[in-house]
Amino acid sequence: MTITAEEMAPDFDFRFVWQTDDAEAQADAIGYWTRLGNLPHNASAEERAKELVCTVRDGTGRLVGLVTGRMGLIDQVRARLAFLRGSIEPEHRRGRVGFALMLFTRAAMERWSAEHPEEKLAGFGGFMEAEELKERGRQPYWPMTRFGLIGYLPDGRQIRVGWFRDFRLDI
Amino acid sequence: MTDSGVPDGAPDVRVAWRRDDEGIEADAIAFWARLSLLPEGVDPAVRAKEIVAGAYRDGELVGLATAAIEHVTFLKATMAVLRAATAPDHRRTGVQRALAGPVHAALSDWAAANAEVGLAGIIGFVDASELGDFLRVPVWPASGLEVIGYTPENRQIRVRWFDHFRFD
Repeated sequence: MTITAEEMAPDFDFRFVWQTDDAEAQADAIGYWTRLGNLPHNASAEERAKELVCTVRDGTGRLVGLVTGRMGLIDQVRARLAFLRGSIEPEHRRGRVGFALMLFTRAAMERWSAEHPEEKLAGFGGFMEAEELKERGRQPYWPMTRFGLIGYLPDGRQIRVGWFRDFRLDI
Repeated sequence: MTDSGVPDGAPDVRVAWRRDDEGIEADAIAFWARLSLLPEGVDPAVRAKEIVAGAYRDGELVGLATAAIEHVTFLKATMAVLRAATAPDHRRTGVQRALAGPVHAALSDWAAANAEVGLAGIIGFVDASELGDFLRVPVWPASGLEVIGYTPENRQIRVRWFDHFRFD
């Protein structure tokens, strides 16, 4: 059985804003990062806001979490993948909204890829710090997000890939 | 029936992993000899101990899956290295599709029952020449095997991790 983000966190409003130049979402994202102070010093909030993929708002309309992304190649699998960064307000980190946002993003990006075959976006990629993953890093395949281990970087970080099922590789 | 007269219904699958099933072992040795499938220097009796499951049609062995347990360095994991063979006149008739589920279940159940071995999943190396367009599918639906890379000889590497496995 597949559960959707809206079923998991019904009091929240999830939106897919990838490559839409949604000025309101971008302004809210910049406000969010400023409020939380969670962008690295060398990162431009305006540039990062252009990479917005999804936002989530609480019942009052306040932005409480977001996902940004970039597309890049993982040579090992010879495929173009989306590399995502997620952030959730501290007060919501113990709830289900963070996981719901991840599920929402996955489904929305998979649809976007199918609607834009010229982009050849094959799935998600990620480089994971073992320390940041803790117990989850011991599990080589995460069934809910379909994110599987494919190897390691020289610095020990895990390389994970989650394929879009309907994508077809160029062989 | 297929155009060539081969039945295309699902074959009967017989699981043999670590069961010392002399019947399927003898059938496999005859299958390898008939089709000249084993490389020189490989002892058929030893390879027969690696049978995971066989597929039968009308009492004849038409497909086989074997596995060797090996450490895969780049995954830092112990994996079942899968080999599959199908009789030429039964190819593209669902033989390996029928074997996929039972093979995964047999190896996964055995891994869970023998946790001290630390068997993490199944890995396969696939020749580009063998499967054509099927290689373009990143996750094979029947087996769950996903693309994780390519060898220097351009063979596709596919993996399915066991749900119950956790790294130390």
